[in-house]
Amino acid sequence: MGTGIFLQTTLNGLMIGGVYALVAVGLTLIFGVMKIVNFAQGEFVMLGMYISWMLAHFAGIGPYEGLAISAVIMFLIGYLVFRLLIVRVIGKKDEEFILLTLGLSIFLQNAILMIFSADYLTVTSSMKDSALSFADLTLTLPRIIAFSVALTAVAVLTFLLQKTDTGRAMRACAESREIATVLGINPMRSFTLAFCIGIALAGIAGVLLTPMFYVYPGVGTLFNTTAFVVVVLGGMGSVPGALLGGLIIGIVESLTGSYVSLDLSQLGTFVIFLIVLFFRPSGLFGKRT
Amino acid sequence: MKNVKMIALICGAIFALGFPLVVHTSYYIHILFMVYLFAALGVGWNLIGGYGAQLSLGHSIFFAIGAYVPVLLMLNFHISPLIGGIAGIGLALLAAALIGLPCFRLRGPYFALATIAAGEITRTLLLHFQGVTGGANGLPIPFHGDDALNLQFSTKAPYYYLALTLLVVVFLLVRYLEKEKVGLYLAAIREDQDAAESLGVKTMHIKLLAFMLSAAIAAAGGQIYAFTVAYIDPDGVASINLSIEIATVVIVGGIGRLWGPVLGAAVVILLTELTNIYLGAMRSGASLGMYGLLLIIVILLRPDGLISLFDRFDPELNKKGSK
Amino acid sequence: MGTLLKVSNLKKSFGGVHALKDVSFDLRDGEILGLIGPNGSGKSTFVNTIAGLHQPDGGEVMLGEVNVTGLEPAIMARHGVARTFQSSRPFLNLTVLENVVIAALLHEKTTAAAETLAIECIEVAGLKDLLYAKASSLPIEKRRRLDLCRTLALKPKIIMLDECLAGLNPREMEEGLDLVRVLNKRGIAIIFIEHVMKAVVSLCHRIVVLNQGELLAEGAPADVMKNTKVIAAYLGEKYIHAGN
Repeated sequence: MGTGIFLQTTLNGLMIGGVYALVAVGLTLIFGVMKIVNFAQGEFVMLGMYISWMLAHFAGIGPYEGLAISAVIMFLIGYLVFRLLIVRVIGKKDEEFILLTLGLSIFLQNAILMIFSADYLTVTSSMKDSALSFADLTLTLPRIIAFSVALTAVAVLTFLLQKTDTGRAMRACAESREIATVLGINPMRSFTLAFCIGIALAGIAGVLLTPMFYVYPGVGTLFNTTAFVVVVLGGMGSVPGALLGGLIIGIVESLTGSYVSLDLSQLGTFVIFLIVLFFRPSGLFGKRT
Repeated sequence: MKNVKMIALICGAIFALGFPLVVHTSYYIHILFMVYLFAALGVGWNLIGGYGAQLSLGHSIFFAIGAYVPVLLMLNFHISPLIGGIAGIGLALLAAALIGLPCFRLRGPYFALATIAAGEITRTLLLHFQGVTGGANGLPIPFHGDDALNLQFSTKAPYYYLALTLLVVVFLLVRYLEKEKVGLYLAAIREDQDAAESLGVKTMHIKLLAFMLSAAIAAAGGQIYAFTVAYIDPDGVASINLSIEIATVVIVGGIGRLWGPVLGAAVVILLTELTNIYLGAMRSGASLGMYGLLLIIVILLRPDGLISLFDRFDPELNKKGSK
Repeated sequence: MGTLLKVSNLKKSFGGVHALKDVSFDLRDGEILGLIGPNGSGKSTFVNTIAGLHQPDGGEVMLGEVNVTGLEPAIMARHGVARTFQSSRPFLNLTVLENVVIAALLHEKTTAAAETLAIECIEVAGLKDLLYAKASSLPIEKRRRLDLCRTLALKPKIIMLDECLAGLNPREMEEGLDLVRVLNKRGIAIIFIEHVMKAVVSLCHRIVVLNQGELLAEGAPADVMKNTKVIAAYLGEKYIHAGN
């Protein structure tokens, strides 16, 4: 295969990697601030996709036009989940949190399956088939939008974390809950916000994916595992790490898919995951402990 | 108190042994078969996941190995599953060692994540190598008439007794180990790995040992399942859902408790079957959704599992290890 | 007295911070060696590095004729080097007896034999009445005793006690010191890490002082206490001048 195809594949991977990064940034934010892994992150991507589908189906609002509405709904769902479930296991053993979010993950998946059945749904957008071309490379508009919105969202989040008091409070909680409390920061407020933002980011990613992916109940598992991989790759809790990790995984998956075998495209990701876990558990870009 | 327990145990034994002699509806026999199977898987998982608190979410790997190896050996080389089963258990032991060695260096959520990844790799490989495994289409086991050597029976009852035997053997094994060195060492690992190390506990060895035993049990369960259902496919025997189901049975019943998985399997399997009867006809997803819901409810309301409801009637149960 | 443990040029750093720079000293047979120093002087790092929790970046640890540098904690325990943690770390959900049996299993093959040894040790530590109490129900003083009791069940040659009196009131502290003396009388050499000067001076045969990862002074308690460098490290320069 020529360099043209190689470039095209890489570029496609890069664009989708932006969305992976978005899911992973949400996950890593939750982990960084609360020190817990949300095993249901992928299911919130799936919920975002269904919300986008419902907006299009029932209200005729396209995914991009409805992005803000979807994000707000997801933020509220995040809040609900936090108040109803998460808050009860904060400060308890790791296992309880893992199992709670695992339970949530299969519950959401199957509740959606019961409501919407296993049918593959699609969301169309007027921009779906538009594409930009230069030289012999082509990029469809949804990919470009997904990539740009994802990067913008990460940039906004980074600004929030670095430059605002709310963000500083979250970072203080990430460093040490005790110290944050001493400094007069209410950790519960930071936890709530981090969780809701993390869920909203997953939801936004879901919306951005709808023009490119089928919407079905099990679609979240795809992003669940990918998000774990990205987060571990970038260093648990590191936002820039998750961004970079997302882009790398996007490219790796795209290349494995076209050069090795399509049904093995996820295998490359898992193998990288295990290698990183074993040799650099703090992530490629994380601090060495 | 002791007498009450003894009488309950004897009644339970009579019920379990006599059930297929009285009830001939294969659906009911199958439900109890599933209870025993999941109870056995749960008791095995409990060894590492409960006593040792190493949350494995990759037990489907060993279940799948236990299912695929004897089936493939029988279909391709006409090797009796009695021998093939041993090969399957051997391979599961090997896989557990290979997975455990690197994974046990990880702690907490990292370990759970690594086992998920290992499980997904297994499933992806089973799907990919279609030539051998049949891929997503799976492998049906054709029925050639009653043949004990090939684990083929025209009625459900023999499979029922196989699962019951597995459960009893596994239960007695874990009951013995619980009080022995391994059990105490696992408890030490669960409580505080660094402190355990400082007391001379080679935590890696103990975790590997428990993991391998647990894997062998899962493999045995996989084999019995495969020949009972006479059909295996990657999504059925190698999915993360299966790993979660095994863990759920233990959590619901009581993690790190001997009777926990048995109670858990009874409750979970019966509830999911009921859900299937009343909701499953309309919509798929009901039974798995039930697993998720049960997991959430138990973690929130009774993290010690349903078995802890009985503790107040039996103070002895609470004083683990005391005389 | 012969040398039991010989530490030569031990080095350990964390991300550029030198926690231990070239620490060398000997522990003699049957001795109680005090290890003191201000906060952050490297005392706990020292214990953790000897005990195998951290890998040393350089240097050597000899136990008699055996090189035990950088061996993992479980192996060190087998070699007879036991330790307690700065914060008491019993297995909270297990009983006192189970806690000690786990340690006793290092040398005893069967749980029955381990139980016998464990009960002996529990008697020495004065926890006989609490055999079946859960460790989580014990007050801090009893937890500290349980820590000591577990190390005793390892039949060690050396016990490293990392601030085993922290959190105790003066009376409990005295009783704790008595227990340490009892262990020492059984022939166990002790490295005693402590903040409270009075306890160190009354208990230890010899003292080494660490400051900023370096060996500052070494000698008999009374001599070390008079050493101006030690006073300076502990209290700051001005106290020396005030004393003059």
